[in-house]
Amino acid sequence: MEHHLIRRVEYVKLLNTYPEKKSALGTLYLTATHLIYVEQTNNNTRTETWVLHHHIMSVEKLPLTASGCPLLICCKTFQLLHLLFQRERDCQDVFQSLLRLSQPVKEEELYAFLYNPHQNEVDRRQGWEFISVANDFSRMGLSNEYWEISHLNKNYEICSTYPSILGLPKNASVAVVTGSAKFRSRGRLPVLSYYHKDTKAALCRCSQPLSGLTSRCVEDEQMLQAISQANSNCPFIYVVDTRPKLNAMANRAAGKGYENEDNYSNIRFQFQGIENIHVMRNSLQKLLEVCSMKSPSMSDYLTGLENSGWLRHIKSVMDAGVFLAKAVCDERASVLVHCSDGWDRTAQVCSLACILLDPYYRTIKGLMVLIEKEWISFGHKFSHRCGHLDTDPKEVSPVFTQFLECVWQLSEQLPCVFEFNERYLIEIHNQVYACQYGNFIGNCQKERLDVRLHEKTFSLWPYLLKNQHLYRNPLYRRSLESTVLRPSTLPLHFKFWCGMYNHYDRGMHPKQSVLDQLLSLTQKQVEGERTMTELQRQLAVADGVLPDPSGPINTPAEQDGPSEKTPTAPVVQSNGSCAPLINGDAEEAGPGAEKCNEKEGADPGATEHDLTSSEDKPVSVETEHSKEEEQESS
Amino acid sequence: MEFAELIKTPRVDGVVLHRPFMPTVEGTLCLTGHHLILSSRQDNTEELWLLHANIDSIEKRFVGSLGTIIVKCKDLRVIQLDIPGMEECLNIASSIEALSTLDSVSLMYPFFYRPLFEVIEDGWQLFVPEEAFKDLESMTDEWRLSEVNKDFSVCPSYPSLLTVPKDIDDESLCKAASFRHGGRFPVLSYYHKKNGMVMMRAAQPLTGTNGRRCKEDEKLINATLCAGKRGYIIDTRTIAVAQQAKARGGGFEQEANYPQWRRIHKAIERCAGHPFQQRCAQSAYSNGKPRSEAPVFLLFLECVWQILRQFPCSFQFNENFLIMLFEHAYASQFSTFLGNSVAERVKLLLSQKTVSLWSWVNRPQELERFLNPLYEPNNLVIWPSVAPQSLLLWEGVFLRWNRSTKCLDEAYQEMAHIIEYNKELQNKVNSLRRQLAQLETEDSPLQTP
Repeated sequence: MEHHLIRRVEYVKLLNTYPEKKSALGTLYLTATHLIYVEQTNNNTRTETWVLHHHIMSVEKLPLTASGCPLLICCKTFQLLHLLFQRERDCQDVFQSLLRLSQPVKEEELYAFLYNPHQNEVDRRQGWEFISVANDFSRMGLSNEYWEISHLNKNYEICSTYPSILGLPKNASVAVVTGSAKFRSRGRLPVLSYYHKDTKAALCRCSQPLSGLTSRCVEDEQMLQAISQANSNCPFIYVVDTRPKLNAMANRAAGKGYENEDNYSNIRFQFQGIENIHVMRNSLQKLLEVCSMKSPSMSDYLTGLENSGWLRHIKSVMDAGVFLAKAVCDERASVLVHCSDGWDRTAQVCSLACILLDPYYRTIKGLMVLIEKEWISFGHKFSHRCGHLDTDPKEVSPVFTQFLECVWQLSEQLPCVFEFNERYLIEIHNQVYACQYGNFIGNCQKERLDVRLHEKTFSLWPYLLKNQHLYRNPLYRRSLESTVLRPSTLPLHFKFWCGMYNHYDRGMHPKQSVLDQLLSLTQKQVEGERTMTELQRQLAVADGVLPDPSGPINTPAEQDGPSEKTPTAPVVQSNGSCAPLINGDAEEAGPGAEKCNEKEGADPGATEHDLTSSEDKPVSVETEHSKEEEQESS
Repeated sequence: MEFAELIKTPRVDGVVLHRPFMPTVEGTLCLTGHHLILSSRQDNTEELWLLHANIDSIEKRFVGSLGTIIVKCKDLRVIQLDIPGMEECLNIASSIEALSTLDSVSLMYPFFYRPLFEVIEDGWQLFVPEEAFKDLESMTDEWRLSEVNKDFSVCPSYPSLLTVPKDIDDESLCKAASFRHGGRFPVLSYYHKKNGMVMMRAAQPLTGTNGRRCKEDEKLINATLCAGKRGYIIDTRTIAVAQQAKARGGGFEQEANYPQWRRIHKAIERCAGHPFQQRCAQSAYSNGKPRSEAPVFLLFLECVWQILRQFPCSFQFNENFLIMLFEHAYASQFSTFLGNSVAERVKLLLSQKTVSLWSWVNRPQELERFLNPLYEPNNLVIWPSVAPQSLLLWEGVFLRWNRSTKCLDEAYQEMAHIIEYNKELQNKVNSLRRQLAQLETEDSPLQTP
């Protein structure tokens, strides 16, 4: 069904990002779910580029040229495909098909509703139960003396975009809870995001109050009081409005706004100045223009990067996250965070603070829990923000991408504190947009329940866990586990994330990957340790120290043999013999989410090297190739 | 000795030293002929030993009688010294200024430095042109080692031994030299074994406005190409700059005179060859910068770093090695980067009077810090990406003093540990296999009666 062929067009050119490089010639296939480009090469190898329709952000027909009809496809994964058709009709056909296929109108048309990773119903159910927000509350120590798990919202009546279970201060009455909800935009009342056991300080989140110019609400004031009283370690709570002050003030005119310090006892109010979704959308747009420039000069690139404002925004999110973590950890103060609706900036900042405070969220599974808790269950509008369906383009914004980038920036500064590597973040990003699994479909829990997502689709998390060996950070050190992260947010620590925004421009990335090298070494280490134990046992048997469980001494010895006879055994290879193991396919190994086997020449950025010789092959990105070369030359 | 006149106040007590990311240290400041020293006289506090030669510029500030000197170093470090007493502070400042800008090379620290380590391998004997030529001879017989510049009279800024095409005699070399700026005639820089192609280097030809030509120069250049082959002449100036040079007697190769060659202009600000003394006299912070100064060597080191980042397994050395070279190029107890040419270095008797940087670096305990654990020897050509996205700020140099490197150092240690542990493990496994094999050969006769 899913690979049912819709169209096939031959003699399509795939233009290279680097104008000086040769373009590929091949055949284009459209299936119900994917665009597949198969390159015909001379030496009988097929290189396939797979693009999921859901990943396509825009398709644009460019003006006719002498060499054909160009079609530019931009993906939400930041992949760019520049195709050239021989015939106008083919181009128009593909253009129209892609417009339809890449912009489904109804949720049921999304890939997740027809994708089955060969699991039965039991697997499916277990998959969905694998990550549980309730378990995370228990892990934090809830319920306890001060906080409890409440089912007041079990029918989503208090707040339709909140989860069914909420962490609430024990001494907040039902009247206070419901009253506070009525005074908050969309009923998103102050609830627990994270409880910090050591300090008893709590991280809470909500939406803006409907304070307007003069309104106040006793229940809401009591709600904040209750949060404050739940932490005896600090006489006040911070109320953090993550918006720029100007934006918040503008909201007052519309009957919304921010807390008046005079009305709430013992609060310290603070703005954080993170811009809204529209500013972020435009900023990313500008950043991507920089990324897709053909042969830019250094100053084109640097000016473009600066003018996009992207890193400035990343820093503002990071600054706010660090502020929250410091308040909780150093001042032992509880913090209440909101923005406008409390589902974009609030989600970014709370989840970032969680990562800084709690090493659990820096593990592979912990990050899943965090995303499930702060983003999915608290109603970050994934469907709208990612543009899963053909809806209002003004709702689209890279809020979640920014969160992932903040985590990446942290991992660059603190390379040993995360259990996962960069590929994990990129894989999650790709999956968010792929809609292959159900996790990121819909805008809130209630919506997901209404379309019976858990019965009709599968969960992403078991799949990621199964492949976790690909996502491990070999430098991860558990001994650092207990520490609260204290990153520096000086501008010099923020870098352009080439691995994300130029992910598909392989030529720009380091040609030898330290990560791959270390991952293969840790794999070898496991094998080596196993072999060593086995050899020690055999030696003990041979020495007569141990009884031989498997018969005569020579049997195992013959099997294992002296090293010289078994040149294929991995342990016999000379140390560190792994030729640079560069294989970019790992992160695209999802079953059909995205396959891109594009083979790259190793010098796409090169314009002027080849002056003395055209015979020298560059160090290739393909392992076999390098070996071949080496043998030749030795 | 002369330095005593320059040191107005040799010692001040109660000086406070501020360094980024390090605790402040209070102690005694001492000035010697070559060092600024701050010692707390406590065992576990790090002392500061700063070569005057490393000081780029200083600023003075006063609050009441407390003076502050901001010292900006050539290695881009900025430190602050709080000095009680206005007079002391002024004296220290003017002494530092005088000592950090000494004119005479022979007053530099390398001439006074006596190594505390045993020189195992004399760095001065490390790079012998005759040895390098032997390697070349094993690959090709088209080149010879010429002594034409033995007394540095043909080209004062070239070394005494030069590799040139075999068919070009010394007389022609002299004529070609007279046609090249500074006598820097075309000589071999690199021979590419795989295809026999070469890189040669030279200064601009003195064509002048009349388009002067030199048969010997043309013959010399052509001698490196076999019939039918073509070559490139890379002029690292823009065409406009190259044109302007004609008016001053310089110029560029006319393609009509070098028919097998294509000239390409690649704009780079200045070309190497490399007068370390002039180029590295001051660094980034100095404002009264002489015209002859330029961070050319630093640019080269950074290019190597950029390639190292893209090919982390292809270099035997690590980033620390490059940073060390950067430091020593600007200020050092060793004299490897003193002087502007071989002739100057010979005249200064550097190899007799001073210690080579390589004598120190090549000791196993030092070398270890500079080895790249990821290195896997590989004789392939490497092609780095030059896309702007691929070129990063060299944080190891430019942000070195602006951030704490604790976490990055830990990551590096962890990486080195993983690699080291793996090697040990594989060695152990191999040795166990041998033991087992040995046991079996000893045992087997018993098993077969």
